[in-house]
Amino acid sequence: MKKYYKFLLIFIFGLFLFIPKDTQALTIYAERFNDERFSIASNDQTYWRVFTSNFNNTWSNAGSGYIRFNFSMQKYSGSSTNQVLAPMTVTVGNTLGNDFPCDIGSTSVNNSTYNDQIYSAICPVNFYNGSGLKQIVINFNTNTSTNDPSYYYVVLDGRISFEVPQFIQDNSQAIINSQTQILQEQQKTTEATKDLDSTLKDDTIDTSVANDIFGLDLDENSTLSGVITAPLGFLNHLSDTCSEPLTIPIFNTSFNLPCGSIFWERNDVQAFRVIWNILIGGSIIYMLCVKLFKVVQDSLNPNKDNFNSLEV
Amino acid sequence: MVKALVSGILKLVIALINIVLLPLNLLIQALIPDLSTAFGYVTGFFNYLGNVSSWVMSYTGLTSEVISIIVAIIIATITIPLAVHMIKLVVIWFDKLKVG
Repeated sequence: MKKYYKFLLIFIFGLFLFIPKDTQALTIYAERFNDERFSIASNDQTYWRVFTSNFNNTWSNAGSGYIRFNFSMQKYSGSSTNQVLAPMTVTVGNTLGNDFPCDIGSTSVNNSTYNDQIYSAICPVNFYNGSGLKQIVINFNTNTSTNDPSYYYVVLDGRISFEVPQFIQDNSQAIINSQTQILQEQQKTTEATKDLDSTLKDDTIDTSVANDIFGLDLDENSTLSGVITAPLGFLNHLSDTCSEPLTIPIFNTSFNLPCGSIFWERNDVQAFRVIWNILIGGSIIYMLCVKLFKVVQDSLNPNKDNFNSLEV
Repeated sequence: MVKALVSGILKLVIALINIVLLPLNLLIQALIPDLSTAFGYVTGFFNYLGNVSSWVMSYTGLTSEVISIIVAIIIATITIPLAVHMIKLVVIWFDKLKVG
């Protein structure tokens, strides 16, 4: 038993060694832009921009990813000594130049929830290569009345941060490549299947070489071998396609009987033909298989023959 | 493919039969030409049946693949007992040869 315990321990240890690491669980931020402080005065509509230069131009990789916004704000109104709470509207995600087509809508801050409110949103974005203005624009509208002096000194003190998980950014192209490879392999498999299918249905394969193996003219019908092989020829003709109507000459008139394809090859009959083949063809093949099984069983049954096949 | 396989096997069997019966065929053609004519009628009858069979089978609605499978099973049903019987004969013959 000790031997088995040892084997079990080695097995469990090996399992821990070979368990693949869950890479998605690790979120490494390639880009992080934190604690950008800003402030706006009351009675003002302003916007705040983040340019790519702020990211040290490291966002040069093309691809798709996500940006998470976090920002908080405090609002003061009234005089510096007499601060009054006031409503305002903040719209995040209005972009300039469509560099970051991200829109998370508007957020209203009322008197009771404005203070140190933290807003968070995850936006899908597209990253582009090359030069050009790349920026995130956030509009802030304090939405205060100019006639109310108590709101004159509204100050928005906010901070914003965003982060791009490296996993998403770095692997986006790899995911696309792997998906492209999978699609290419699927295409190859589909083509191979089509090729095999067409081969299986190909009845135009030349088998005349079988006639020429022994250099014989098999069209000699007036021989003893012709008579013996005639049933085989009949069997071979069974699967032939009816290509021309059957002609029956009666007296001086010939009657042409068209092939069954005039009915069975109509487009509105094809669905029924499939069912018909399954029912009739399947039944016939099943009966023939049962008979074949019985024939094989009888052939190997020593009681059916004077010769004991078991001795063979 | 099934049809081509069946057709190839049948043609091979026909060729083998022709080889085995080649001397007899030559003898009949040389010595009894009228019998050859009679053989021709028999073969012609089967050929006509073959032509009619394709017309009849076209009315059954069965596809050529299904018909080919049916023909293949029929050929196997005919061939297997014959093959087993021939093997038994060979073994009996060999057994008697060994005893002798």
